[in-house]
Amino acid sequence: MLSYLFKRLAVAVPTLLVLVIVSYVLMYAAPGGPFDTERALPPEVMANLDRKYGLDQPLVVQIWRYVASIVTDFDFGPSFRYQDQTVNEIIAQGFPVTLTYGAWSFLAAVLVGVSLGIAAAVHHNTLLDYFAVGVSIGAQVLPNFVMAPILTLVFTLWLGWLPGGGWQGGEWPYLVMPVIALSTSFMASIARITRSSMLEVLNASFIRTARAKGLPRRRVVFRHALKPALLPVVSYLGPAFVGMITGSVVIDFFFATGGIGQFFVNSALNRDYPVLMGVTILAGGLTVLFNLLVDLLYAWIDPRIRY
Amino acid sequence: MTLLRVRNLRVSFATGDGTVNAVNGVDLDVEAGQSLAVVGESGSGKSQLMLAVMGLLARNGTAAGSVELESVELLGLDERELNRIRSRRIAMVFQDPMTALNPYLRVADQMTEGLVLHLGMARREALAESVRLLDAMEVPDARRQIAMYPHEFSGGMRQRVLIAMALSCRPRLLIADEPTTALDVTVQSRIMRILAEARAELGTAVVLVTHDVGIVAGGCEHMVVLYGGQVMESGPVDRVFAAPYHPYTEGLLNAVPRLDRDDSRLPSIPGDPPDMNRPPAGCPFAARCPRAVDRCRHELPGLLSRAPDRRVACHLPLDGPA
Repeated sequence: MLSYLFKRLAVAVPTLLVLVIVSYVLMYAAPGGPFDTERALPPEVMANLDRKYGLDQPLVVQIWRYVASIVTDFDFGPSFRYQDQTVNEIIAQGFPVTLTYGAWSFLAAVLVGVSLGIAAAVHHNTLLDYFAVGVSIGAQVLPNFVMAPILTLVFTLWLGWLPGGGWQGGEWPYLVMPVIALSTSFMASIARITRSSMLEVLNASFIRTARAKGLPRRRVVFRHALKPALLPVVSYLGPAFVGMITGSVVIDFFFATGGIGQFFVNSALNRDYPVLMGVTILAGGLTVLFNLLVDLLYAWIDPRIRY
Repeated sequence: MTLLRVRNLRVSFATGDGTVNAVNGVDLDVEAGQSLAVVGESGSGKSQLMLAVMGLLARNGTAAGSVELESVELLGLDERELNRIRSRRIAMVFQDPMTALNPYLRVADQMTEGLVLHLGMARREALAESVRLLDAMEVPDARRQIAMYPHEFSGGMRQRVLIAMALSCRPRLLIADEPTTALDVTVQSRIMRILAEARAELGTAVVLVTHDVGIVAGGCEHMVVLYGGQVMESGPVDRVFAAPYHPYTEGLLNAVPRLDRDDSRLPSIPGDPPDMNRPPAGCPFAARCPRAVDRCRHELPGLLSRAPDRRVACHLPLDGPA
């Protein structure tokens, strides 16, 4: 088990390296540069800027220097756009915010989604089932960029219950709408996955054995069916969590929460190379980490899986 | 005393293509401590009959008629009332031991939960009892094995676990649905012996559902032959084997390979079982029966007594005109 863990972590290094190289090449290949403005700067100024940031070097050298400074100093470089701020500072500032509302959204999506899915499967083809299916389809077609303005409209402008944006260190009134907007569509997917896999498991032969033993339905569902029914949900959780981190693009835009999401888009538009690379590596690292966690969770749930 | 009394039991399933009638008016009696074989081909309705008795039909299935266990009507009981009867009065062992145990739970957890729930044992006590039960089923090193997961057991061992589990609350009736079909032939006879020993020790009546006429001969007192969801013939095993009344029974018996006969070509019954979407008007076996006459195709023969303890549903039984 431990050796498996080390192996997986070792494989993560080349994975991330490939991510860095491919992203860097793509970024470099995209037209435009970080210092392009509407009125072109004099060529001498451009040359100086390029020299200062090492952009005059061949691509291979640039990538090598970038990776080397990460490995030796954990330095992801300065932002080209936000003066006096390094990428490390930008991420250290924005990521905790994103992680806070991301984690709450994750928790809400899993708890509500799984409960709704189980309830629908256990009461298959009843009003409750139809209600749950209806809600999850409705939530699925309401992506966060539609949810966010609707929530603001209702809770801020009409009812005046919640602030329309801001963060204030993550106090709950500022947390509610971002979490709802971010979690709704994930919750719907989790509910759908849970429902269909629970329905399948409830038809399994071992569930019939459990019922033949005269176990109450609650025990059949939670003790015998829940674990296997959650396996497909678990495999969805890795991509879902990363999806919530990248989904923060919309949240930061609508609620001015100041998370990392705003940089995903802005850095690309601004050709702010170091910031763009930094958030890309962050998302990539989280993906690798969560896929590993999901695999470990799998082994914990299913005794037939051993590493 | 009659332990299980089934009268005019009908099981039907609502499907996309209409109603499928799996069981069409079956009568069945199981005396206390008796061993009864329910014999039939795939699709004869034998498994659905037993699932109906347990109240375990699929969601789209309905059972009508009467199923009395110790004079208590089981049809129409709700799940909670049935749960008081399952395990303690009736238990069931299913066909495929590879899928009948929960792969996500240790054998110990699966064996003890019934004892804790139904007999009110403490967990430690239930664990000791489970080990004792596995020992009795000749599971080697039961004390250690019980902490393992089902996938670490062989098929034969899993079936022993399932039988031990089914017998753990000392039911009055054990329904074994093709308990040996998925197992090696060498393991089959040991499972049958284990069932016989349990019956002798606990006085549990056993209903053995099978398509294998061979294992009926050694292990059961009475037999019921099912075809198209109806009883074709019933009686004591030795007498039915010696002289079957129904042409279908005879066909089944002839299809068993025997050492005292030249079996270079094993006789089989030509044709297929009837389509239960559109059951035939007359005898369900008429289309495949070598003796069938016009009457068989139009008029359903009743299940009539022909000798003490023996009944047959046939217009032209083998021992002479009806």
